Amino acid sequence: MKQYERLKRACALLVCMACTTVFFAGCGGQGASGTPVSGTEDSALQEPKEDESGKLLDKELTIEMLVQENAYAPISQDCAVLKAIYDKTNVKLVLKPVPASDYGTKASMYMATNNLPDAMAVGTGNIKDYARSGMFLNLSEYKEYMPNYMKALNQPERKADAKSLYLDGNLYSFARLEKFRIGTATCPMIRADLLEEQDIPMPTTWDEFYQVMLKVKEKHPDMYAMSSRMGTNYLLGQLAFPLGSGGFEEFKTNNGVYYEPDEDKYLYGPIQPDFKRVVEFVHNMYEDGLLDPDYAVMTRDICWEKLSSGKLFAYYDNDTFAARTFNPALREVDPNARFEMIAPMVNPEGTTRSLRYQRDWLGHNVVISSKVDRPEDVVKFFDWMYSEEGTMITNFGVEGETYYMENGEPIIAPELLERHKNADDVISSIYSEIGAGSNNFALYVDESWFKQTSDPLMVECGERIDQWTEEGKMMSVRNSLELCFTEEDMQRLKTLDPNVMTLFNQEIDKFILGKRPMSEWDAFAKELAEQGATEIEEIYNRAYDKVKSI
Amino acid sequence: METKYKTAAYGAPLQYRKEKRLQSMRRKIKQSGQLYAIFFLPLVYFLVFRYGAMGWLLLAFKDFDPIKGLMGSDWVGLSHFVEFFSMPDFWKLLRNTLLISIYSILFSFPVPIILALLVNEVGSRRFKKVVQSITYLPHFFSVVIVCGMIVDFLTADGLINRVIVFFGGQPISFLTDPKWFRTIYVVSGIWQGAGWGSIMYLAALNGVDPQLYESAVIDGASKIQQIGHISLPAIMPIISVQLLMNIGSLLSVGYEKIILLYNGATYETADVISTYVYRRGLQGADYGYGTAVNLFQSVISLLLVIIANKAANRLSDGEGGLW
Amino acid sequence: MGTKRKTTGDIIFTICNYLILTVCCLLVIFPIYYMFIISISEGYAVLRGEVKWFPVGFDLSAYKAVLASPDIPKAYANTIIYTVIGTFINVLMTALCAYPLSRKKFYGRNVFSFMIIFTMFFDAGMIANFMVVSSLHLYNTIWAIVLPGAINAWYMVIMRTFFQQLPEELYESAYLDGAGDFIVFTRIALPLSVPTIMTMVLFYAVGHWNSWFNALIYLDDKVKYPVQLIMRNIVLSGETAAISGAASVAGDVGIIATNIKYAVVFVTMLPILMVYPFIQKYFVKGILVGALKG
Repeated sequence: MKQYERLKRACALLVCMACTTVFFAGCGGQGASGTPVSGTEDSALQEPKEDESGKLLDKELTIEMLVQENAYAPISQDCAVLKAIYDKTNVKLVLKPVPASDYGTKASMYMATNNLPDAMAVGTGNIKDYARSGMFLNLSEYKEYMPNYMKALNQPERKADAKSLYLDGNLYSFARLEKFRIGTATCPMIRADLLEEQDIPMPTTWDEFYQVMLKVKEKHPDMYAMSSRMGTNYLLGQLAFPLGSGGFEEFKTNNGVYYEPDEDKYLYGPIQPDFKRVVEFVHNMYEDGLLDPDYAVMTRDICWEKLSSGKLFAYYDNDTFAARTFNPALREVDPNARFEMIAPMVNPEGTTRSLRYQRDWLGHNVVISSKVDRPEDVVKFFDWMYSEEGTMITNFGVEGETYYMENGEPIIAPELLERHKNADDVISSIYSEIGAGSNNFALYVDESWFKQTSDPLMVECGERIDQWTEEGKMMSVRNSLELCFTEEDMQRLKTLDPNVMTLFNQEIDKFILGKRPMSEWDAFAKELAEQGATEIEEIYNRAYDKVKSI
Repeated sequence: METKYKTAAYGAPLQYRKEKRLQSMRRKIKQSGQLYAIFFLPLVYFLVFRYGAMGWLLLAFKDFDPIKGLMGSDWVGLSHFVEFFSMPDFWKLLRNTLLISIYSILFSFPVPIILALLVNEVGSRRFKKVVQSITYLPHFFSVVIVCGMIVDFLTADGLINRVIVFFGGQPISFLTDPKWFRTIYVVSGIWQGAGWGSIMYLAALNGVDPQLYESAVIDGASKIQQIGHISLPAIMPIISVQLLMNIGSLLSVGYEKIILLYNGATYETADVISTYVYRRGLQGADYGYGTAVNLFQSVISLLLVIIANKAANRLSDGEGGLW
Repeated sequence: MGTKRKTTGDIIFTICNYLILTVCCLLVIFPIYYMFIISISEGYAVLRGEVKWFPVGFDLSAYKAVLASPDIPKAYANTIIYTVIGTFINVLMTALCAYPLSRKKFYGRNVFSFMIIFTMFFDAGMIANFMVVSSLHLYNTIWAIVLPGAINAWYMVIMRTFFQQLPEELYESAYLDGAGDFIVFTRIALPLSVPTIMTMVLFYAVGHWNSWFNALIYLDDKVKYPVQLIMRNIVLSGETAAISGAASVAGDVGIIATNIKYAVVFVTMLPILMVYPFIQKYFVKGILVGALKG
């Protein structure tokens, strides 16, 4: 295994925006390398300032970090943020970008071959698989070096969820947390112009919503109401919770378990009596010609096409899609055409509830290799990213250069906005240039400046979503309990989950399409329970009890 | 005493025969001396890159822990295999896997051959070039792109259904009807692979002496007869080895294309071993289990190939097989 | 060929043949044409699904967007280097392997053949291959891309079959003239197998051109990435939810239009397509016979 060490130490080669200047930066602090270094360190990047006081670390430290690179936001080593980080902390952060499309594979390769870079972002599942073997630094042993992170984790609004970051009582990762974000949620959206056409008011209950859809359909028989961009379970997941049941929320289209706030426990959605209502709702939509017949097989592209061309008049998905994609496309053809958000509706049980995306990115976990030379300093550095200074730098760059303060609020430099105003994705483009934000490696994310560039509708929707959250009509999706299962339970889930899901997936469309009568639903739910759904539920609640006791 | 005598009596010719065999072996080795030199690099390649990695097949019997490494990880015996065989619907998955492969061999395999034979009969060189250049294009599209197109064309108001409706038919729900899955899989496979697959056969057909065709024409052979008596025999060896290797991959139906095309409604025909393993893998990395499944597939594949190879050798006097 | 009088049957055959091939070509080309007109149509028109038979508007911004990535030129250069060097090694090694195995007198031939075919079915997997590559100190070098797949057993078997089909008398007379196998291999077998070699060049080159997985696993530095890895990221952005982060949580960032996706296809495909006519030159009937007589 020695040779990997050596290779790992062999320099990280990174290309700059222009592809011409190449910085060679040895990952220092690990002793002499046996591999010849094919370049010299660039002096512009690291003027030795070790003696200067006021830096986070006294001695220079190089940290090599694996980061995801999005297609439209190239990551550059030559950016304002990295320079500022070096100036303030004496840490030379060497980024190793990996295409986002295959980041997961690359990351598992590093882990499976025990060949970690100093730091990398992994998913919760990876922590579960590898932390016990001692591959990652156990942060709980370094608590005194990370006051900022602990403070952020212990904020009242995230305290409950943050507990699920612990594996056997130990913390292994720096999770990406939210400082400020424009609220986003999946919401019911409907073509407001088609409602106006018939003077129909916005629905306030799910029954009304159904009637409204019927009326629009009557007037426009060639249109369908809804479809799904990711198959049947995604659609069910959107509708289930608001209709008083749950399961498949967010992108968990292969997991029927959800947190039921009324009972403060986890339930397997499809085996609950309430879930029948959800299936009936979708089944009725199909019978009444409201559900797109291709709902189960549609790709996102086709779904987008139908929403942008007036073939579908409603959807239950991200509110932001309307402002960013569908409305501009529709407007070109019919200036009045637009999707608008429907406020959370009263369900047949008489309650009003819906889900919004998880507040933080608790599944985006930066782990530190247990083989790093100066673990205290590495921990100190990552903790710094949650400090006031670190947050400002990693989200906005350098004051007076990439951002200015205005009425106590940071705003992105107007010249930057001007330069990127024609980009496909302005935000990614700016982030890419300065190296900031969640597209890069910020861990305490502040996206307040998005208001400067976003469609006003998006900002308005965000505010309404926040308001509904305060009113208790909306709640965040709970973080996964993955880390809280015992080893045996985990093994059990690996078998149970796919088995139950295979059965469910095989039959669900038959109920929706009427190939199996709804009268057989209860028997089917029982079959699911016997196949393991009940056991899954028990495993989750055992884990949840453990979390609550922390 | 008698026994001793016996051994001695039988021993002499035995030793003699052994000697003789050794001698002839030495002679044969000597004769192919330069061939060994030529073969040296490839041999090293296979030993280092392919056999050098084989030890890791032990993962199938291990609970893999990267920190402990391959040898340090705990043995779990056959438990990965037990788990694999005890999954529900194992037989259904196996059946689906085999059926998809068999249909592919039955329908996809002959198409490139026919295409090559037809192209070979084209007189105009320009037309020939155009046909070749066009038919091999789809090979360059990634699975994601091809499957995106398939779904695009096959939805309720996709191109195919619009054509069906135009001719007065009823739209077909291709993508949710399990009956259609294998057809879609195989036909799209042909679309993507036929032209590319024909290149090899065309290369073989180039080696045929044009005089053979000319004398056939003089003998009054029709085009079809020429194909049957000259062209087809010329590519028969290639067809034979290709078929053998295809038989070896009966169980290795990849998951990439299927997961982009299937859904719960078509599991009945579309769910195969690899897709099931893929869905299970979503629950977390399990290299031991994955290796066990691969090992199972490998062993079956090898057995199939050995049987098929024996048959091929018997049919062709030892020259048509893979070894 | 046209001097001989053709029978009616042959004329019908020829007509049918041309017809069938034309229909095949149309079937193949239509989806490709469709992708192409989408890639040059105007973004929102594509989004609304208005492009059916002809492009709507004319907009090359999709191509601009694809080529705008600063990493593309370097990645292209890498791909070309990997393809050229890789293909050279592939073809050389495959020929070195296939020739001896095609000779009947090669002692141990069946054992070796079996040994090689065995590797076609038994692959120890990703981690194992990674371990081999890195224990040879190839990790993060071009050799990690071109060496691990140096011989494709399947192609090797094909090439062996081609060698076997060369007329035996050629070998015999060479041996009688006192030539060793080196001479026979380089002076007779190889020159007579130009179409075969070209087929192998095509197969291997396209394989290298399209490959991305080895690069992902064995390369560490972005500057060494081949173009497919970068294009893949464009095509898949939004399609796969990467482990997490802003994009996947909202499923929102990187809403990539279909036209860009298809532009990527053409941008990556074109250069390798240009190789084909060059190779096609060697696919001329009777090239072997000409060599024999000469």
